[in-house]
This record gives sequence, C-alpha cells and structure tokens, in this order.
Amino acid sequence: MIKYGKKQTAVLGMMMAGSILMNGCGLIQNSVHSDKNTPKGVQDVLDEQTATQSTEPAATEQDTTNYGYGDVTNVDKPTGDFEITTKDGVLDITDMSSEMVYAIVYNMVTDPDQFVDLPVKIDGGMSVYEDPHTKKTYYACLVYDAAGCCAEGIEFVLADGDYPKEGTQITVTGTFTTYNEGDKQYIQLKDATVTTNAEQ
Amino acid sequence: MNWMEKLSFYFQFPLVRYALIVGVLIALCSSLLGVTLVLKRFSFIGDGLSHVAFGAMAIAAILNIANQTLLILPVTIICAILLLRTGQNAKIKGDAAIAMLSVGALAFGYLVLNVFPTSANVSGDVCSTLFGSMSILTIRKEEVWICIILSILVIAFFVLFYHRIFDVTFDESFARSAGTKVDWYNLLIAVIIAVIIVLAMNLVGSLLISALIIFPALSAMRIFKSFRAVTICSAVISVICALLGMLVSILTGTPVGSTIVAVDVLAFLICYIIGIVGGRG
Repeated sequence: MIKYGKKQTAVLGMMMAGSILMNGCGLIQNSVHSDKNTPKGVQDVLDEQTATQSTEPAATEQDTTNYGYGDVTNVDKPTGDFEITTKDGVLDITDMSSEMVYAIVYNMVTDPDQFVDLPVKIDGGMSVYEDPHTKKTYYACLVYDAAGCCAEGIEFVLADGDYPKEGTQITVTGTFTTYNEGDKQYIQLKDATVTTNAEQ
Repeated sequence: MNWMEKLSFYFQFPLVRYALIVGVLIALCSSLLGVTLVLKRFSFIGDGLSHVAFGAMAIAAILNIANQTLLILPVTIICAILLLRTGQNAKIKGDAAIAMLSVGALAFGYLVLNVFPTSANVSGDVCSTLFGSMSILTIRKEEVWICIILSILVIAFFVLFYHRIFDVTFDESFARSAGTKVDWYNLLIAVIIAVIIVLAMNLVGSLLISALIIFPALSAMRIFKSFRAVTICSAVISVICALLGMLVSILTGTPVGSTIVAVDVLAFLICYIIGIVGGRG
C-alpha cells in the first residue's frame, strides 16, 4: 500500500488544484456561455444555440428595426479579429464539408462579431419554431455535422415571399446580423432569399 | 475550388487554426505517455479513464454544473491513481480493474443521462461525446491557451524526468532498490495521464482515446528498438497522423476522431511493413 508523506500529499494536492484552476479559469468564459461546447439537440439549437449572452453590448451604431417581433434592436458591432475572404462578396458555405459548415455556423453563433453585415449563403434543412410563450414564429436553416449527432441553425427573415415547409432542403442567402430580444442577443440572416433544392 | 484553395480558405478561420494547434499538442502529449503505458501493459487505461470521465460528465450534466471539467478532472485523476497504484498485492489486478471501472462508468453514465435527460437529443449528445464529433472544431481561444500550458507542463515533466520514467517503466523493482521513489513517479504519471485523457476527449471522443495512446507507440516499436528512439518516433507519428487526420476530416467532411484513428491505423500498417522489410518484425 502506498503511504504518502505530508510533502508528497501537499504537492499532489497542489498539482490537482493547479490543473483544476487552469481548466476552471480558462473555461470561465464557457460558464457564461455554458452551452457552447456541449452538444445540443435539434430543439436546443432553436431554443438556445441561436441565442448568445452579450457580455459587451456596446455598439458603434444602433438601428431599431421592427421585424414583427416587438422590441427588437439591431446591433451593429465592430468587426472581429480577422477579415473573411469571400467569393464574389458572399461567404458561401454551401461548398464546404459538413464538418466545416457546422463549425462555422457554430462560430457564427458563439462569436458573431466578424460576420456582421456579411452576405452569407447557407444550405440545410428548413426548421420552424413557435415560441410557446410569446407565440412568435421563427424560421431557421439547420445544418448537421458529419456524424449527424449535432445540429446548428441560423434564423433567417425573408425580404419577401413565403417560407418553405418544415423539413425542406433549402439554400438561404442573406445578410448576417445580430439583434437583441429581451436581454439576449440573437443572430439572423436578414433580407434573405430562399430556394428549395428542388428548384435549383 | 481544388483542395489547396479550400484549405487556404479554411485556414482563415481561427477555429481551424485552434483545432490544429490543440490537436497536435494533444497527440504529442498522449504519444509520449503512450510508450510508457504500452510497456507497462496499461494500454487500455486510456479507454478506462475516458469512460470514467464520461460517467463524471454525465453526473456533472444532471447536476447542471456549468464548468463540467471541475468534476470530470478530479474524478479522472482519482481513478487514474487507483488504477495505477495496483501492484502485485492488489486483490483486483490491473486489467480487471480497468475493465470494471471502464464498463461500469460507461453504463452508469449512459443510464444517468437517460433517466435524467438534460437535452432533447440524448443519443446525439452521447454519440458526440463518445466519438468526439465536433468538439475540436468548437474550441475557444481560452481553451487553446489552457491546452498549450498543460502540454508544456507534460512535455517538461517528460523531459526533466526522462531517466526516472525510463527506470520506472522497465524495472520497478530495480528502480525501487536503487532508491527511486517509484510510487511517487507512478502517481505523477497517473495524474498526467488523467489530464491528457480529459483533454483528448475533445479530439477523438471517449471511445477512441486509446488509439491516440497506443497506436503511435506500437508503430514506433515496429521500427526502433531503444526507448528514446521509440518515444521520439512515436511523437512524430502521432503528430503527423493527427494533423493529417484533421485536414482530411475538414476537407472531406468525415468525423474528426474516426479519421485520425484511421490514419493512425494506416501508419501502423506502414510501420509494420517497414519493420518486416527492415528485418525488425
């Protein structure tokens, strides 16, 4: 049986505490965005993954636009740390692998700053969600990872026209933006156009 | 877009750069300790500890702990210590102890998640945790720094205590008689393995962690004989396979963890053939 001296016990305790502290400190941001690295199901994508806690709500400009959701404020944020190279001015993620599509959409949800005002083209499954409390209806395009375990989605608002039926495979092009509803920040593609895969 | 253009396009996204950095560091650290574990006949400890970590994650999820690592890491470390301290007088020997903890924790974790579901898609969440579907591509900057710091500590430990690790790996009795604090080094190795396992779950998931640990070491042993050469070769193979696996996964849309392990298997086959051709096998 191993007997540990006081010194060894103290060092072991410090190592464990150090490991925990380093993981705890580094992941404090995660405790605020607690669902960021936790795989979420489809329902949770619309409920939680499209909402991000805004820790820095300050914006360079504010434009209040009512999309029919009541008290909604468009927040134009400064761009992030890097410039995204686009093809013909559009971030086209329809041509990417499923892993990258999921990862980039996840990145859009968790760190939307660098995507604001960027035209984005995405394809996936049509999803419709009605908030049971507010009775508002939200329309989103869902993407899955390669294994089909995880899903992410982006809400979109059409410039005009009708929304496709739920489950339809669609391609959506719109301008990436963020807005506040209540005390949470959400992302969406505004002034969007949608085509179903059958039409393409 | 050809694959080169695609890759350069992907590299503009920080998430890809973070994933590659973390993946390489995890692969490097796991390969270093992998040589020791394989030689000490503890190849499956990675599997066992990762399943324990899964069980701890399940408990943390139902307890709604925001930072689950605060529970997962200590539990995994304690189990690593319990498993690696079993000596000749242990009532339950090494492989049986690992099997017991491994399947028990896995079953318990899945049972708990189903009885107390924390999301609408439990199976999807479990699948993602077990196979590390997307975790590596959703790593945040803070986690990258944590990984870098922990990796530096692991590598520093291995470099500074290389000779002691060598002694403890090959002949514990002799090392003990020579005055080496064998129990203390076994304890340190156990703690570091637990840390690496928890980190590696992000890369390949719980079920595939053993591959990261054992395949590079076994591949290197097909070619080289000395402990130092095997260790260095194992580290190189592990890093190359992890890098290649992640790039292939990103380009082709295959699951990251499985692709890395597939590349590891391929590397083992190549090394096996090299070993036979070179007269080593």
